[in-house]
Amino acid sequence: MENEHIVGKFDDDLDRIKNEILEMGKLVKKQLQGATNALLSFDTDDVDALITTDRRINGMNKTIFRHAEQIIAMRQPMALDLRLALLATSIASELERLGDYAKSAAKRVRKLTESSSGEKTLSLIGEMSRIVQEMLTEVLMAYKKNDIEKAAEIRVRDIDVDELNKKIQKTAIKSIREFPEDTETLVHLILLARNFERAGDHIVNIARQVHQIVTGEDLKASN
Amino acid sequence: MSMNGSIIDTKNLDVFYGNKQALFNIDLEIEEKQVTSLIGPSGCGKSTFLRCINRMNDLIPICKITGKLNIDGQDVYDPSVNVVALRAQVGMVFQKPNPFPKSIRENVAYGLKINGLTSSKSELNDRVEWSLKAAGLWNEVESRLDDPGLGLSGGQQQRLCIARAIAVRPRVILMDEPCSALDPIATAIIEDLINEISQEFTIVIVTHSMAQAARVSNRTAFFHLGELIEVGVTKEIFTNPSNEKTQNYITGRIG
Repeated sequence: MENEHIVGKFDDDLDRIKNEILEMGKLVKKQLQGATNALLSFDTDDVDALITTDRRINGMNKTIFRHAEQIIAMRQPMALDLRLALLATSIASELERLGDYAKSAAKRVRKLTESSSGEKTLSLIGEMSRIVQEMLTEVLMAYKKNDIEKAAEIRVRDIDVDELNKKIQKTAIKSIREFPEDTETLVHLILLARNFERAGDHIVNIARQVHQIVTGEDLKASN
Repeated sequence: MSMNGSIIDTKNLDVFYGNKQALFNIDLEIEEKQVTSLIGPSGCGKSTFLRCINRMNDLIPICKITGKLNIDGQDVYDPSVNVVALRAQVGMVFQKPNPFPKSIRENVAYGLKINGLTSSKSELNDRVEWSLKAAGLWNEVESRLDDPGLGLSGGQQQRLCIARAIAVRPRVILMDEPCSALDPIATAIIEDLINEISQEFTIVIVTHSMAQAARVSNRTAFFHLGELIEVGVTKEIFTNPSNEKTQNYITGRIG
């Protein structure tokens, strides 16, 4: 899409921040994966490690902010370059929030009791998490390649996540009626699904920001 | 987007230096009492365009101009136009401050005298004072108006040149890289002054500093290889230009 800068170091600075976002995104995806694995196997062994890694993700968000600040102060970017620097901080914040959702999902696993009444709900959550993780991979690709078509597909894909969330709620409520003794676990599952649904929304925000970097158009504002 | 209506407009303006064409088919409207920046790489024709407005290019024998350039609907290149009167209407400030080797007072009074614009000594003094105040220089020079203009600092000399330009109350002030020989503080003072005087005058400024164009102007026109590529509201040009050449230029990319 864009040509190289006359000052090569400027490209290096922008590349660095892009790579940092991609690294952060990969780590967030691993967190979502880890939280989902813990959930599906009722295994809390990795929860502490997931919480520790979340602190690292928070640190990456701060580093990206600092590097964006340096680009703005030292290079006075204009137009596309300014959006690359500014929106890097927004995307990093969205990823940081996604990390928080993974962390709180992992922590919630500790509160669950394994029971057959939640199996169907759980498998739907597993399906939902898989879609969210795919969306995250796709949005990182779209960001890497400034691909606004791919970013648009991700915004559409989120509808599936929302639908799944509704289905999970219905299924869980039905199970609560049938097995009132498992209410606590099923309520936790509803809240877990909500976590992944919110994660999908943050990925959509990133997809919008990719669109804004490339076109200058803020889809949220124009909606 | 026109707030005040255009004061200058060109149609199919071509400029040639001998066989070499410097401007191609320029259609540009410049709005009254606004600051318009002309930007673009060296040799893009922005200074040539600026110099067409007050017919400074007439001084170059091989220069040939075709097409229309109107100020208030009047064709500037019509044979009946008095060039001296035109230049009183369209003042100019250059890259290097160029005060006359005269006193501060005489520098500002010069244009008023040769154009016979004041009828008494007190009116002349009032106009000198008004101009120096408008140029933000009065407080620094009021006690030494008869000292030589060339004794001032670079930034002060440039403000003296601006005072000299506005003394005759032109409609338009052309500025050709007015800050490129000044330090950042003197530059900031001139930029603040441009903002002040644009309430009263139309300003067209050529600048190599994109940051300066972004700071001082309401509208920006981007020239490239003698063509006008894009003109628009400065905020748009510097955040989301519609032409790729403009984007490459303002972001410092290889075009």
